[in-house]
Amino acid sequence: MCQKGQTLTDAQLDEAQRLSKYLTGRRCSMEDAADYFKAVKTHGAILDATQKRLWRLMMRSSFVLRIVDAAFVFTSPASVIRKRIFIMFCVLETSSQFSDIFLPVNRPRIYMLTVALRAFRAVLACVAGVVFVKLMGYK
Amino acid sequence: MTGKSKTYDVIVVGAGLAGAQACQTLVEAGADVLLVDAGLTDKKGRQRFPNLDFESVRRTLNGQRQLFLGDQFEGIPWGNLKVGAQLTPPRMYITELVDKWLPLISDTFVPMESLAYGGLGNAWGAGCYMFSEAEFDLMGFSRSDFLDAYQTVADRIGISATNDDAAPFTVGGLGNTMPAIDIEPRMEQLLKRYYKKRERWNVRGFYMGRPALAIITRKHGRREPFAYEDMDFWHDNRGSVYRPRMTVDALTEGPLFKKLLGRVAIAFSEHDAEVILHTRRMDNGETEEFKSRRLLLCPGPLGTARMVLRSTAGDARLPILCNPYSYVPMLDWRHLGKAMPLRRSGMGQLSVFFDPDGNNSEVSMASLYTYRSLMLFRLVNEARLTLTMHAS
Repeated sequence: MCQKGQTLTDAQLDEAQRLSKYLTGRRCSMEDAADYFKAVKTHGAILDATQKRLWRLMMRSSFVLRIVDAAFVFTSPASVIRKRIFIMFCVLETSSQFSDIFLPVNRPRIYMLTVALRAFRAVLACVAGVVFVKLMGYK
Repeated sequence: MTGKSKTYDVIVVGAGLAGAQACQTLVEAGADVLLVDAGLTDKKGRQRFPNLDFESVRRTLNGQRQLFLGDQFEGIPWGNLKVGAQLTPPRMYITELVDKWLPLISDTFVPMESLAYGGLGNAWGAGCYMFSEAEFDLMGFSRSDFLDAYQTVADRIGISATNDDAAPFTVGGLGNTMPAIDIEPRMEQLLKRYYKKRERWNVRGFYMGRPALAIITRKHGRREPFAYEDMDFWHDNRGSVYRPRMTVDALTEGPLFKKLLGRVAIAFSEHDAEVILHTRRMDNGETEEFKSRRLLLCPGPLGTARMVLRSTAGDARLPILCNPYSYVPMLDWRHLGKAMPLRRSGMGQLSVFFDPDGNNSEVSMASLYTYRSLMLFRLVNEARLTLTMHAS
């Protein structure tokens, strides 16, 4: 569980937690959050003014985060926004705390149905996201 | 006496697979050998993994992020990587400084070259193949003249293989091979399905079998048998997979062999009784020359072409032919939602060969791997997927 530290601001902590929650359904540790920002800096995943506007909305609403991520898979796969989410994905995958999520495990038969439903939801999110991003004037 | 004033029997350029084996053969024949190589090593010591299987590492190892992603997060891939998409941080040094020392201008041709000590052999897939009779014919040689050489190299590096339908395309006919590495149950099932309709596949020119790999399944000198930890992309702790540097290191202990690292071979000039090798020091850019009675060029096809063109051909142009390859992700829905066996290998599991003419001359091949230890993020980067794990 993430706790407020001295090196990260509240906004930074909130961003890391929101991404962690979106990607895994769990909160990340302070160390994960710090590493996320170190990696963002190292990889130059810095947002410009337009991207910042969209990013702020994504950080306020997990729904917006989900649909924009889904939309950018097709419309802007190389965008900095997606890169930041991907960096957090890498950070979380390399944490023993999240290994049970990322490693393959035996699941019940109903799991296939869940996957199909999630895939369908991802398609809907993508459509909604493309419309939303266009309305926002983001190219 | 080092280098410049001495005339060696043979100078070998390049410490990769070809160079290392050539050095050993020459030294065993009593030749006085100098090996010249750039010889880059991983100065960050990024192979600090413990001898644990992949899942244990992932579930228990604190500080694993530094090992999996690198000190500077250099292991985070992004975008369409043209070269070395599977190189993990412990292996990234093998392509370091290539842009500076081996520049290449092309929009369409993106080869992978290395200045590492041991060359691309530090990250190869360990697949072993012999040229076929038809291929030797095209080169004007007879295959039978090379079988002893193949056997010698196979005995040195240790090859695990099975005499199945893949053997004629790999190392069929060689003796002293070790038992093939075990493959995963899902690959066993695939192989069984192939054997059920084997004749039908073979009529169409398709053959399937286990690959021949330079991976030992029995103790071989100082090297330990393969331990199925699925850490093959991350470290060489047991030395089960053959690396050319093992050969060079062993030779360094003898009196007839000298290695000189930190030099990039530029060109050569031939004189009456000797060859002069022109090199450039990587630390200060100064040129150095070394003399020998024979020169053996083993810096890979491109490195050799560069040197020959610089040395002999002026501004001539050389056509390059290269086999294209692709990575194709495949999903076996029957294994969705199932755990993978702990005891497994990250190396090639099965090989499929397409030989439409049936004479082993124009063969296409596919290697089948199962995916886990290269991490999910690498797959996600290459595929267009939404990132959330929470959803699935």
